[in-house]
Amino acid sequence: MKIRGDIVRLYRNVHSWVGIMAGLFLFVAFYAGGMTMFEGVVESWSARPAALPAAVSVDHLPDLLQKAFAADPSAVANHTVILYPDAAHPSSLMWSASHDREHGPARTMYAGLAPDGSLITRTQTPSQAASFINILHQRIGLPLGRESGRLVMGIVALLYAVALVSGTVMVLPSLLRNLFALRLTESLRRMWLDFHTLLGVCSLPFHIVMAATAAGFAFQRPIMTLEQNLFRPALSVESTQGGRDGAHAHHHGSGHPGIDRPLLEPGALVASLAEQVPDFEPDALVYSTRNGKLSLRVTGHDTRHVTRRPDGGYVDVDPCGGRITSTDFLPGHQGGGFLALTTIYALHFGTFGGLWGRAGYALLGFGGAFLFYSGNRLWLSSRRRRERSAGLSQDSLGTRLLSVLTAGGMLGCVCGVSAVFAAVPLLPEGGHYQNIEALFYAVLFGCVVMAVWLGGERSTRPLVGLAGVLTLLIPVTDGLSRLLLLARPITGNVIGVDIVALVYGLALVLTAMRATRALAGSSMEERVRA
Amino acid sequence: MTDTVQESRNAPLDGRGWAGKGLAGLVLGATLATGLMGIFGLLFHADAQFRTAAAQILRWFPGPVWGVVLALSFLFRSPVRAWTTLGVLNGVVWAAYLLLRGILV
Repeated sequence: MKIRGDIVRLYRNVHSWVGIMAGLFLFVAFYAGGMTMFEGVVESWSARPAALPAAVSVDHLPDLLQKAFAADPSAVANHTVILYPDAAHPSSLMWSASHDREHGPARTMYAGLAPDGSLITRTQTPSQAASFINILHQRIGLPLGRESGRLVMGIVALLYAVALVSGTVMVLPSLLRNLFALRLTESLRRMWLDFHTLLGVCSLPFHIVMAATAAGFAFQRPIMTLEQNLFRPALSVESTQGGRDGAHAHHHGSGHPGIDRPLLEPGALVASLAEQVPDFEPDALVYSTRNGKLSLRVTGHDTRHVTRRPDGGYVDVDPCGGRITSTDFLPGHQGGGFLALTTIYALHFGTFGGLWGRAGYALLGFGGAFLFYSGNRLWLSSRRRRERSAGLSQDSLGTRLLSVLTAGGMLGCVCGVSAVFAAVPLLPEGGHYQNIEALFYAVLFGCVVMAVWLGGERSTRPLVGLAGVLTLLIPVTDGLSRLLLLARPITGNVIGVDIVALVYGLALVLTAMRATRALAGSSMEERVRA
Repeated sequence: MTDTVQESRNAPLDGRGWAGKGLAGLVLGATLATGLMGIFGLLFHADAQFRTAAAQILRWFPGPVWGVVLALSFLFRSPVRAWTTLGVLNGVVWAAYLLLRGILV
């Protein structure tokens, strides 16, 4: 494809400047975002189920619910019945004991039955480590509030879109000629350039999807306000949700607020659902109060269809009668419009194709992070080359600054995330958000200080080594805490996380050791040329 | 006259006036994307209460449009051209939106 030379040159400049502005933040967003593909696995890995009440059988659920609601009537308005308990959700009944949902799972009350049939309850805050990683991803590494974080993320998403367009314009004219030319033998700069181009072109569709969907999440609030003003109020409602609001609104009064009749028992409800949608396998019954009315959302897995959220799709059900009120987000039962909407969510959250889909998305995410790292390295080496040929013997301030931020910020983020995981087994209740946040930013800050002290180039190797050591600590602290300190179960997820950490840590340590030789080689090469 | 126009059309593009061009893309790209979202919302009967799929899907529409307009704004010959062209486009889009709203409401 032919594009005028001046346009390609112009966009090369645009690409390098927006890349430099957004690259650091995008690195964090993609590194942490790739990890969120395994948020459920990490939740199960970091869970502390030993102290919590054991699950009860479906036959005993009505008894449990009745006793729990008698002990704490406020639980009715906001409780979840777990049909298939696992490590992360070990009890059959739970409800939130706090309204703080800003920092991941809230403080939760877990309920079960003692052998003599009496009610036992325990409060615990589930480990907030997995949600910290998710929030780090959403707020691109900055310790900002919910709304301000979203707006900054939106600006970065916009720069990311500009970087994608300009990068595509740059490579289009020489695409076929240069794509697979990976010149490993020539200078280090050539190698970074070829690698950056190859990675960028091959994952371009993924990056287009991410830039487009991220902007939608970032500007959600302002766009919704605009929509409310631009669109007309609903006259006829297309959604099946329509029947819900009017039907029982006049029955308010007796018993608990928002409930007109006794709730259907979980066993009967699941049976009624199985009759209405035989192929749907429910996981949990989530009761919540919306607009002063108790509503029930049944969540369930279905790997054959795209789902809106990582924990599957859901169906809205009348909690008293068991009748389905909305199938808008029920996998396999969606209309075209809502299927399209679910696809947008699924394309961002990687919720299609089961475990392999998520693993592929995680790889693309980490590949994206490496794309931004290679972009910064590329910018640095071409700036250095220009400065050397202009006669400067030392790096200019801008070059030094970016060099420090690339090493300290990007590798510091890797160190911080690994430090968080290594600390989770040792922290009370698997880590509260505030402790985890403090630890992450302390490690990140330490890495930046180290990069300032040693200089960007010279700190790269020790920082990669540090990241490797911190990552290797994860299976060590986890194994120790499981064997010695706490009775934490060993499941497939646990072994998976620890093995991945072991392999990844070893890879980082080996990279640090190899980088010594490569760096020594390249500086020799440069000295020979000079 | 024609000679100078011809000459400026053939002159290579460079980074001059990038701030003005970028700002035009940033500001008028946002209003343009919003106006287009309004038109599609009316055409697809999106509702202001977000009950329809159309209203929820259109939330993802302005972002990419804004980004692409911003990225392409550097192609304008000058900041003035950027502001006037995008301004006229905005006028057309918003006039179409108001007209549609008048017809449909």
